[in-house]
Amino acid sequence: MNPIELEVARMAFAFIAEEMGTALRRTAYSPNIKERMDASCGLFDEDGRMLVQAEHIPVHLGSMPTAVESVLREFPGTLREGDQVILNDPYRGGTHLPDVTLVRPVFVRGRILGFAANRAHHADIGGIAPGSMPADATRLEEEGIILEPQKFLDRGRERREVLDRFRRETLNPPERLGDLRAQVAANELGARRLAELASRHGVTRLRADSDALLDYAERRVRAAIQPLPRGTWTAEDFLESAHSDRDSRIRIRAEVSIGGSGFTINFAGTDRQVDGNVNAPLAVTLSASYYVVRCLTDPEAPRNAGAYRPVRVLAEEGSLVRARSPAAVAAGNVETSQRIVDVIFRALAEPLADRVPAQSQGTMNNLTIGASGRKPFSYYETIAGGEGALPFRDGMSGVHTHMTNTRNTPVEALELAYPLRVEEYRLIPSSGGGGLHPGGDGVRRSVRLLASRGTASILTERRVLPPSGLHGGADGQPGRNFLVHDGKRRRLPSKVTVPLSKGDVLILETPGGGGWGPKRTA
Amino acid sequence: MDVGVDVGGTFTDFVGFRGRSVVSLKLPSTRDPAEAVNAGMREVGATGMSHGTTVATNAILERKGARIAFITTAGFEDLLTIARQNRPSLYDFRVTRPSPPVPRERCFGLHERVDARGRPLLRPTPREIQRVVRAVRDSGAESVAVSLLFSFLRPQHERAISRAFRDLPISVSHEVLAEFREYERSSTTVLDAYVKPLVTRYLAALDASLRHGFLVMRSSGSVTTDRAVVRRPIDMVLSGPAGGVAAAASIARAPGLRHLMTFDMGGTSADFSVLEDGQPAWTTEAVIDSFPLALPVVDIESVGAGGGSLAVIDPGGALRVGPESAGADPGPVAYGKGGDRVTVTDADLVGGALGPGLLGGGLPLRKELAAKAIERLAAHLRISADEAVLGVQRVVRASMAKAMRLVLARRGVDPTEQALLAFGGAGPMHAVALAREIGMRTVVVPFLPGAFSAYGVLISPVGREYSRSVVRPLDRAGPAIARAIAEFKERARSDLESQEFDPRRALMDATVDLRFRGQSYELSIPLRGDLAASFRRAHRVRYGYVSRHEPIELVTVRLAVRVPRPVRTPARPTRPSHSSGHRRVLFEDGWLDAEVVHRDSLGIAAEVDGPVILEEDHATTVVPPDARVSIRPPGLLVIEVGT
Repeated sequence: MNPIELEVARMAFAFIAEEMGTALRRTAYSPNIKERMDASCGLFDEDGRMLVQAEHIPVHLGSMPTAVESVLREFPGTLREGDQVILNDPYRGGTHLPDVTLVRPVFVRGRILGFAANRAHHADIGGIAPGSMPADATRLEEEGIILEPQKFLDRGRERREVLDRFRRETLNPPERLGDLRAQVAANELGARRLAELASRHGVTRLRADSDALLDYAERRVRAAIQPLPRGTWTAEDFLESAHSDRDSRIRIRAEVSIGGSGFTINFAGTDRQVDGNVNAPLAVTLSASYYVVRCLTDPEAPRNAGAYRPVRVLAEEGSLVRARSPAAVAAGNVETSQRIVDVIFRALAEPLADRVPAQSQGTMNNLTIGASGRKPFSYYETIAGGEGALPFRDGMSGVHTHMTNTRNTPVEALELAYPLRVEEYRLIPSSGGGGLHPGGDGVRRSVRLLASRGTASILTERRVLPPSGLHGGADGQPGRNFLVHDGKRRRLPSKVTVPLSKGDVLILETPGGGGWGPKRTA
Repeated sequence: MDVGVDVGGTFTDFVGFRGRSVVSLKLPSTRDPAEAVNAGMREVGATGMSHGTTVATNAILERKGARIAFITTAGFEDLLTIARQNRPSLYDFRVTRPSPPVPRERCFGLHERVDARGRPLLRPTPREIQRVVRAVRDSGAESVAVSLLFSFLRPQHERAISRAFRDLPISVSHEVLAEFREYERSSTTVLDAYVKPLVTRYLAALDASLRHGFLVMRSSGSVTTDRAVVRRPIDMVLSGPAGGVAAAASIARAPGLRHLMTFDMGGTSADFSVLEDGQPAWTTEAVIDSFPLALPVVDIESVGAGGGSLAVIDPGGALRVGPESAGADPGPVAYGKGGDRVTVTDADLVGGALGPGLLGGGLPLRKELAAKAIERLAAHLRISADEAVLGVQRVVRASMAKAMRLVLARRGVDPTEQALLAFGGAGPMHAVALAREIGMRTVVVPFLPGAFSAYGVLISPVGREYSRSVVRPLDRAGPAIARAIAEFKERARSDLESQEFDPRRALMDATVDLRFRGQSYELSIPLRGDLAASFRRAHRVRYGYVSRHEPIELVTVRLAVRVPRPVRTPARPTRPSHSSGHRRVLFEDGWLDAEVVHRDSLGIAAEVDGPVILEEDHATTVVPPDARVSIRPPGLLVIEVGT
């Protein structure tokens, strides 16, 4: 394939994924998809190889192919034109339960040509706490409804069994169904576009284009790996708690090798899965690993299966980074993924000193406040913090880092929609670690409950162990969580579900990023 | 004579009418843009002017605005830095957020608070106001932006602090954009304050030569007086491409042309926008250098693909074209000014689509230099020179096609029902091939394609938009809507009168933004009849389903006001037909001998089959084999693209 055909094919595929994303965002119902853009779309070939993906948050990067593989495995020869498979089971293609994935086979003349798929984070998926991110769950079923791969659309018709589960078991069924239908429509569009490409160029040419694009992405990543030093380096870091009632140190260890065949990341020495919700399914670990390699090699390479051929990930079944059913996983996606990134970067801090950042805030600061009863509501968001400084620039302040990039809810939108008031939302000066390049500052967000009562779930990390500085830069300041009740301020643990009464204020202070390089003395 | 003036990065265009004959002029833009404008106005003998300019845009992009101070509710002073808390690039650490136009040390918190129902929780005391005013003055600010939480519900606190700054230019959020979402409103207000002193100076420099004032293009596709824009310069910040879209709207009145996509391709970029049923599409989600500008502006998608876009081979061995551009200096290889990297213009020249000169022969092109550069590129890629020419054209088209499809997708529009309206120096050359790629059947090349934006600036209506967020249940919103609309109409009347326009000629278009409670995005519904029923209908069209029982919420009330101006079109050319011969042109199927004719030599109703090249002063239209071109009033080339 010549360089021109390559570029034209690349743009054609890239466009389809983007167009699916635009359609999803245009027609979705909930703020989570429209405003925070917690969603991704992709195309796959008949063997489940990812041809292209448009993701808004990196945690979806490597985890979508697992969903398609699962569909291929569970529906051998039983998919029909017009079917769409739904799933969220982290042990059968999902990540955590709020992430609902829809996969649609694309048929040309009766044969499967490929798949269109998309994934979106739903604001509530049932379970024991509003917002489906309970701090104290230990088993998956406490976190919400579990959808093993099953047909949501059967030859174009919605199956009542699936709809009924959403109607019965989630907090806001109209919103759920609105988002699901937007997901269906996005896949229909992707499928139509892929079929159009096939009819314009022919199936044979399409397959050749796909192969060439995968090879092209691989070439680009290998070209970026080629000048890197060869060797093997090891690092570890810790999650600080699995639970509200105790601090612990949960070890994540990675041995990272750069060699002729690319990156090998081996998580041997990582702790076993734990009684709590910080367990990560393999898909999440793959995403975090691919993320780091992408940042360190060629950030612009096409996002397809070829780009990850030079990356091998080894993780032991039953370990924290490849959890087994029925462990709870809500925080695996949002917290553990961040720590996996920290560990891999730390391993490469010496050999790739010109590009590895100091540690960023290392948490997504998940905050859910809700109430059932006469006026039910469920508010979920993640709060930005400090970015780790880089060898060539300061860390950004008040920003989402690494595995997420969702937007905030505007204060005015929040107060118009929920019985809550934001009392303070600003940076914490000097919370970033000092250095030649200082780390970015964390954020203080204070939220007062105006309703008579409610429940808050907080899932955070880096309240004890600070984000570390690099090459002489100082550590960032760890975050802190407080509850102000009756004028008295009390410290809360990193992960907790607490009852709130009217007038209570939750204060989340997020961590600052680590600094890079020793501070110059004047 | 009134003249439309469009100041671009490379050229400043002038278009006016003496009777029905067109007066047009193209001058190189000057470092101080006012120089070229004033020179051109003298040269064409203009007495009145409608003006489109990118001075405000450039001031923001180049960070050359005023030293401003920002005042907001205490506790939220970092609003502009935190923004929406996302980062601009997911994987590339080299990319960082641009710093806000106002540094943190000039952001000041005022102790005050209004709640979500518009009730004052904390009133700013006179002492507190004095404290903040003193701090702002001590900071040496030249211009002030004020944006307090929920000021659109209760503007008293913003007014109280603004009164203390009578002697400084000031932008107040409830006046700039009385809508919720504090970051977007603050950003818009800050940008207004940031460009205000500079725009005031620039317009004053023009005004000196025009005794009676003049009109200025706004980002929403209408014009207003220079005096009004000095008070709200934010209205002109994204007006660059709006002239072309406004001109397109005048063409979209003709039957069969009501659904258009505009395609404006110049030296460095190509702009696309959609007109549905003759109406330009608006957005309130525009962004400039990552800063939101939440006023209604014409929805335009821009891609770095133009005549000067550079062809490069990327690390994976694929050919890329743009977004890097050779600019005007050194420009394409063929300019002979030292450029040695192939641009789209070079490929077009070597492939024969482009004739031997630009600017009506004023800028000769050196084909032999371009051909050598193409050969070097071809050798790198191990393909033939012809394949390299077609390759550059195909790749630049593919990146434009991607932008077009995004615009269509955002609006949910079917390309087969759209005609492609091509203008700008390079648009008509690439339009037919692009239309074929997208599945559009018709290409239209308007009169004056090289100065179409200036024409649009000349004929745009006078206009202004008013809005306010009034969030409440729709079934109890009647009085609030009526109050807002009555107030907007009163303001519109007094605004128009103060600018010496007749309010009785104004068309007023009222809409309300509605949503189901709990949704985060709204649909704009015309204010007439049963609003709930219209909203549910619109919801079904957009989302494919609708809830019968969910309560509907009013979010924002809007009024758009337009006073039409006379729309003139050029008379049919009287000059005799003069075919200028033939040249070899490389099409997808190889080299063909194409007739080259002057556009004006085509008669009404004549149909000509491709391949043919139509030339005029500042544009070249390529009609490939299997396409057919005809002329229809008012001087439009209509090309059936075939396959």
